[in-house]
Amino acid sequence: MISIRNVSKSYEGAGAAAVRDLSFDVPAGEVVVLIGPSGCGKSTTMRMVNRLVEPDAGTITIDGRDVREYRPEQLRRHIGYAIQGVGLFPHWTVAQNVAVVPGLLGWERERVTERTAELLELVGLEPGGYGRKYPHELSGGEAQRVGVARALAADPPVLLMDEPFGAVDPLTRDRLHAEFRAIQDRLKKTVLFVTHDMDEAVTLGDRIVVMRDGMLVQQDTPERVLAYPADAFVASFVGAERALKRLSLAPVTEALDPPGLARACDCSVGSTASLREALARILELGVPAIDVHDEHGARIGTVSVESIVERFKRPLT
Amino acid sequence: MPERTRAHTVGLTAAILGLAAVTLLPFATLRSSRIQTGESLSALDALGPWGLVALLAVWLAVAVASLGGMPRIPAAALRGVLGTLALLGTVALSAAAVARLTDPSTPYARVSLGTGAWACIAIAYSLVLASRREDGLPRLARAILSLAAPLGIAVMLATGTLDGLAIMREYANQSDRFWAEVAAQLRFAGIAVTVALVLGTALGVLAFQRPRLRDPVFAVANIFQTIPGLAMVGLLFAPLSWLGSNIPLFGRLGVGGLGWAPVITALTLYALLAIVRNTYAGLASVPAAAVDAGLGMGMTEWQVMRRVRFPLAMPVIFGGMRTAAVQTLGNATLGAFVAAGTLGLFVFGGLSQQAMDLILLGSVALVLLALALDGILRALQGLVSPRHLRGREGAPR
Repeated sequence: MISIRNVSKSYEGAGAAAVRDLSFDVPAGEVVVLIGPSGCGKSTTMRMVNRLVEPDAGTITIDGRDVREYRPEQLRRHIGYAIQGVGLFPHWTVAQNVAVVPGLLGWERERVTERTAELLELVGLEPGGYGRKYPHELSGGEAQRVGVARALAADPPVLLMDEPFGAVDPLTRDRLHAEFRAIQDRLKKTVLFVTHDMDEAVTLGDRIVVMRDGMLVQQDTPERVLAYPADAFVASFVGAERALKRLSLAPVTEALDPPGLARACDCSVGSTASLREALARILELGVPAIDVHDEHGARIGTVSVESIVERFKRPLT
Repeated sequence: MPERTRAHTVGLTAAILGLAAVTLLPFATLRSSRIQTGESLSALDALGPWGLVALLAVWLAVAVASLGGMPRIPAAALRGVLGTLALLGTVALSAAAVARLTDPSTPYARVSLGTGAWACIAIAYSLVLASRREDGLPRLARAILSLAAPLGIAVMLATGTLDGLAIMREYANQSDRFWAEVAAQLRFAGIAVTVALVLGTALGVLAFQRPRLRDPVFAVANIFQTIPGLAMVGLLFAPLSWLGSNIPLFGRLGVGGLGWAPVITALTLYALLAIVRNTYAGLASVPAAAVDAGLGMGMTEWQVMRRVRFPLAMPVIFGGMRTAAVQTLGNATLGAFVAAGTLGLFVFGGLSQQAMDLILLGSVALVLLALALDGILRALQGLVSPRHLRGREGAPR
């Protein structure tokens, strides 16, 4: 667990403090997304965790140990780090890039080679072909996969990620998000993730911390941030479509009515679909309700516009 | 469909200038002895009708190859070949003219190249260099164009074809001293650039890491550039003489107001700026994300410098070294002012004796050395560039 307690930071020459008396936790095995407009102090906060920036006041602990007890380099070698623009070393191959931290930790050569191949496979790049490529030969999406593989290289329990999926097309981004979620579900890393994109925050975060002017405005689950924004700023930041974003977070099974009569049309969705997908299907077909079937094709219920509205009326816990 | 091009400006200009040089400028000079003012000869008088026609034909062919209509890359290669031919032809025909113009009854007579011949050589070599750089030219063609002219001259020198020319007769008189002075020239430049490389890289790194020191470092490196060479050795005379006579170690090493000490000191100071500037610029050009990633993954400052900043800055730093080396090689002539020798001796000696051929011996040798050094360093530059930059657009050539 990462604990941030009463942390403040001001930069010389800047008027207001970059971070003011900030406290929050990143529970072990969860993804906490720090979000806010540019200049709100979210990157500064993240960089204080691995001591690229030293706080003026407050303490940061990882699993109960103050980060200041470690030498900065030692600390950083045990924290995965992926950044905006990826920061791959252009003069090294993909394999050499992934092997940076294992190399710094003095792993043996065979172990590094093995680990590199394993990681490239994990992020969906064929190790034989990609290992020897140089970063300039990669597409934006491929470079970001390598960035993630590099951050995971020495199997650190904690990851810091500063907009690692910026600057790619929406389709690639969606795919990278899905893959990252899948990897995270397997590896259960403790992740502090920085972004300014609410969709990304909602998709990836177990919890969201909203910052503004160096201060914490709200911290909650994605669904609660969308349902109960703390103030007008958060409401405007999550956007007018926040109800639709909530729909995409809720699985269709949360608004299930018992199955009715069999329908003549081919109008059903799988039980893993989100309410957003179900509603889209309803609108597309122009029907009041559609069936939901499980993975074996058996009907398990129906979902309708009414059931969705009812689901939204229920208060969140 | 191979792409066809419009007229090639550089090629056409070269052809026009070449034709003008052959027809309008004196092509050779005939003197009755080495220090007499000579008689200027036109290309017709010097080369005879057939020689003149041959030379004009080559330049006309350059014009035709530049008019356009041919596919781009073969046209560039053809211009390169014709340029090489014009260069070697000018030299060979001039050498052949010696036999036409002199006979055993005039043993002291000298035939030297005139302005027209020198202009032809310069224009032809520029044309070769320009053609060699054409994008898309195969590597082999590039290498052949780079090497053909120097090799041709070397063969003519080795076979004695050029021995009759005044500059070579001057060389024959001076051959022992000539190589000693070439060695001195290279030695001074080599030592000065090595020292400047160590000092300049260190100062560049310092200026980069301590922003407060940047302006003072650059101010000092710039000041040296403003001092003329003669003034520099003049200014160094007093302090170096004092060091040599008051500190026994320096005295034994031969430090003094004259000799190697002022030459190497002055050359080092001149070479600093290009190296400091390029080291700084190279380090500053390294992508911030790569540096941030390096630090964030737990590299120490030193590891980031050695593994990330330096390799990525290397092409720029090397470029500065190349500029400094070529400049320094030329500047080393100031050794002649302080009794340290170098090819400058021939130039200044020739000036005081009014012996044109001696001046040319020094300066032509100097130009050839500088061109050779530049070529070698360019070739090495490709080798020190990080692999991802080699053979790519924007890679240093």
